[in-house]
Amino acid sequence: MSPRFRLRPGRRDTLGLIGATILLLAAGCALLAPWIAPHDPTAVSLLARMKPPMWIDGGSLAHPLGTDNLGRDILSRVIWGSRISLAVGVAAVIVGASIGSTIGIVAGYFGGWIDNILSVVINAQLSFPFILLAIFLLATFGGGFWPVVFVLALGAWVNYARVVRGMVMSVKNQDYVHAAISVGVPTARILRTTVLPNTLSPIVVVASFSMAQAILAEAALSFLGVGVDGSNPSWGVMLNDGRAYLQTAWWLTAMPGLAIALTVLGGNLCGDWLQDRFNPRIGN
Amino acid sequence: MSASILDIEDLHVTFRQGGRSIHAVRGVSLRLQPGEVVGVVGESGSGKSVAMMSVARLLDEKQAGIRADRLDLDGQPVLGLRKRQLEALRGPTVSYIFQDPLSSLNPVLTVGRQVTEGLRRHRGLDRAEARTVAIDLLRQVGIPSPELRVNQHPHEASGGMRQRMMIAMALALRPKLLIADEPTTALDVTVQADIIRLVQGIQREVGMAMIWVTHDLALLARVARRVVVMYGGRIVEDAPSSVLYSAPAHPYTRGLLDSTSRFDVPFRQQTPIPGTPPDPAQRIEACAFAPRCPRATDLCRSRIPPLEDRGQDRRAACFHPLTGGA
Amino acid sequence: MLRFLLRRLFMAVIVLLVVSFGTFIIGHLTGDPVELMAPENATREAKDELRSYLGLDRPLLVQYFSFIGNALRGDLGFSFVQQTAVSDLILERLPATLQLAATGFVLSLLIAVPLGIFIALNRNTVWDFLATSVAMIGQSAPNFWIGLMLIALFAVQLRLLPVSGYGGISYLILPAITIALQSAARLTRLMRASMLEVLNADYVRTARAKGLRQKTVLWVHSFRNAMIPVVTMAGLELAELIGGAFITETIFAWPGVGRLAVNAVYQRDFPLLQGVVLFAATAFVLINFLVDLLYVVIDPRVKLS
Repeated sequence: MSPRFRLRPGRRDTLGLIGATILLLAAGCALLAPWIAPHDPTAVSLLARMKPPMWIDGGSLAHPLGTDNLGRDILSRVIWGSRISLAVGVAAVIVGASIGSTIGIVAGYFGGWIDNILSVVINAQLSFPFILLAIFLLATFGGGFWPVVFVLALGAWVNYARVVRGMVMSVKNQDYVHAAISVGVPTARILRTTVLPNTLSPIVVVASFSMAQAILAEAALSFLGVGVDGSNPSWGVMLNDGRAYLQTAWWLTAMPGLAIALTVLGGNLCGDWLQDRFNPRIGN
Repeated sequence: MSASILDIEDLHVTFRQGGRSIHAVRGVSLRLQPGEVVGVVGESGSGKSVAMMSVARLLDEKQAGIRADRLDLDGQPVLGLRKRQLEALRGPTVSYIFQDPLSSLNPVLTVGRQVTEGLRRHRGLDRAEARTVAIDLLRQVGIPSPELRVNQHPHEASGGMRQRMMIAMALALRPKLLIADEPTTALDVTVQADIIRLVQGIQREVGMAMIWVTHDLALLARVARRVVVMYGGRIVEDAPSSVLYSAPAHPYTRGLLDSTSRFDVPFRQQTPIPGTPPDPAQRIEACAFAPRCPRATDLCRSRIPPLEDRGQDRRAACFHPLTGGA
Repeated sequence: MLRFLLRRLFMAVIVLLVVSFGTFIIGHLTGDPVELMAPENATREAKDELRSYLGLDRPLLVQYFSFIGNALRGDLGFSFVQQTAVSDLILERLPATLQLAATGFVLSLLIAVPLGIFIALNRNTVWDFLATSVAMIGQSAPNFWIGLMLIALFAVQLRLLPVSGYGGISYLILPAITIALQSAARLTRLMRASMLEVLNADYVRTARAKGLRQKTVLWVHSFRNAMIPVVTMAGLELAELIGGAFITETIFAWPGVGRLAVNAVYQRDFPLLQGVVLFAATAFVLINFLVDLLYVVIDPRVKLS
């Protein structure tokens, strides 16, 4: 009975709070973009091209993070960009979680050959270079918001399926489930009332991490030119645009990248924290 | 009276966890003569394991704060020792047998290596000598075909065999004091008796001092001359087994005896103690057992009862003892 | 032990079959290669002739098995865009990828293992806080962005290293660091967590109770156990790298398999893409199998399962 105390639980909570704050701020930016962005993100000003951030010589308070090659305000573009990046992330999480959890529940509850097929598919997908599959599909069938979302969900569903399957398998063997089965409660009802609630916390944990992953992957895809396009650019698109000016104006690349890093950090911190709270044993 | 092998005076152990501190051991005093066999009994959370772990300073001292007026092991002040001196004591002077032999044995090292490590470290044996000794030790603890076992890994043996390996390991250096921390709790009931008999036999043969730590009073009745009862981080009763079992002084000891399976008592009369053990994070300026005690009075709820001599070589910490007192 | 390895091998084969079938099907969904190959003014008869010459008029399953059969003999098809055998293209690019992967991987281990152990032993100190924070941020920042920032700093501002390309050691440094940083961020955190768990393990307490030297407790009793999860993770990282560090190779114009694949996407060179995917998946499965073999060596418990 050696006492095992967790290391400073207080610190973990603080980090989780920081993560949640970051995510809330990002969500706030996305929702309130028209009101908080200092400039029109598409307003071109040829007189104010390539202005550096305010803390560097030549920068000004008018454009705190500088301007791009067309004189557009980078801060405003980063704020507006959060809309696309977060929307992709949230949508990918919802689609991926729905598909993955459903498959996980079915495989975990019914077991047998369904389960065997699932584990083969999971192993196959894990050994498949996802980013390559994604660019392949998007290059073949065309990019855009929903294609990107579905491709990202295609990459993420496995994680949900794996975790949910494990959870279902352990719940399935609980006495109260056996009892319910033996008195003839319909399967659908057992799944809904006992199995589903138990899978919620691991799903939330995976969702937090995979939201972060989705934002990263979206940026990578946009960076490779097969992501979400449109007049309102995502952070990944901004990064890709800025790359051409890396030699002269690094901030075009640095700022959107920083935005991505911060948001993903928020998602990861939240994920760590939730994992700690719900179940220290769910691996990722 | 010869010099004590173990002399503890007012031992306190506190774990710091975030802003909270957990006071696991709250003033334990205990003295052991060479060759003496003592049982320490208590519920989990009573501080018995933590107190015994502090004897060789095995607790993680980044988390555990240990202080005592005296903590002498074979005449050496354990708390004042440097790392090297401490290492020299662990093994030859004090050895441990832990509760769960599976988690207490290293999964990636062979049994032979783990049994002989101490010998090689402290006695400077070479590999071949160590192997011979290891085979000998394994045979002594009743492990069949020890020549094969030395090259195996712990997971290849059964639970009982693993505990025998632990015992071989603990006895390799013929320690002056052996501390067995719940050595049979993790084992099948059928092998528990074998293990107890084995340890007992070796103890008699070697003549070392020994502490059995357990929550099982019935077990101690068979092995220990003296029993120390712990509750809420303190010793509440300390008496020769003959005295303690026939007439316990502390109501908690009484409760423990009543809740222990005994063949001489009808099942109906075996009653668990009502209530729950105290929260180790809380400071208590009263008898920790008072909330669960049928004899508790206002006095018990306002002061900590001191551990006092009650005659018949007994100490008890109770204002209203069942025998031998007010 | 044999059973464990056989089961793993069986799984690896199944996985490869599924992956190859997936690649094959997607390859077929992407359009008729004949339309891409034949000249624009080719007659219908000429196209049909080409189709049957290529064997594309056979049933899908037959085509798949011949695809697999060819792949097993090292024939991954023909890139019409580059007019070269796919296997030759991959083999030509492989040395560059291996060079980058090996350098990045070794660098990553050299950072992650000692650092992870160090901060586990000094947990809750300033060093721990700094290293864990940096690792956390490193894990969160997009890898290609880190690469670009390294270019901006070391190549553009400081002019210490070339921006991109292939050549001497100086060209290798930035892409290798880019790869290593990402992988090291993950591995350091894992190494720390794993080491902390092992240091709290009962068998480490047993080792201390035997009076072993601190050095022995750390390196003999803790280190090997702590490495078990790290080896798994490191194997995955290496496997991914050998399949091609797609984006890093693209940023640094590194002539490896990853860049080959990305270019194949842009040029709609499906046979090449199919080949690279199959190659990457095989590399992945193979490395993981090797990791399983290594497992048998470091974790004797595996022999029984």
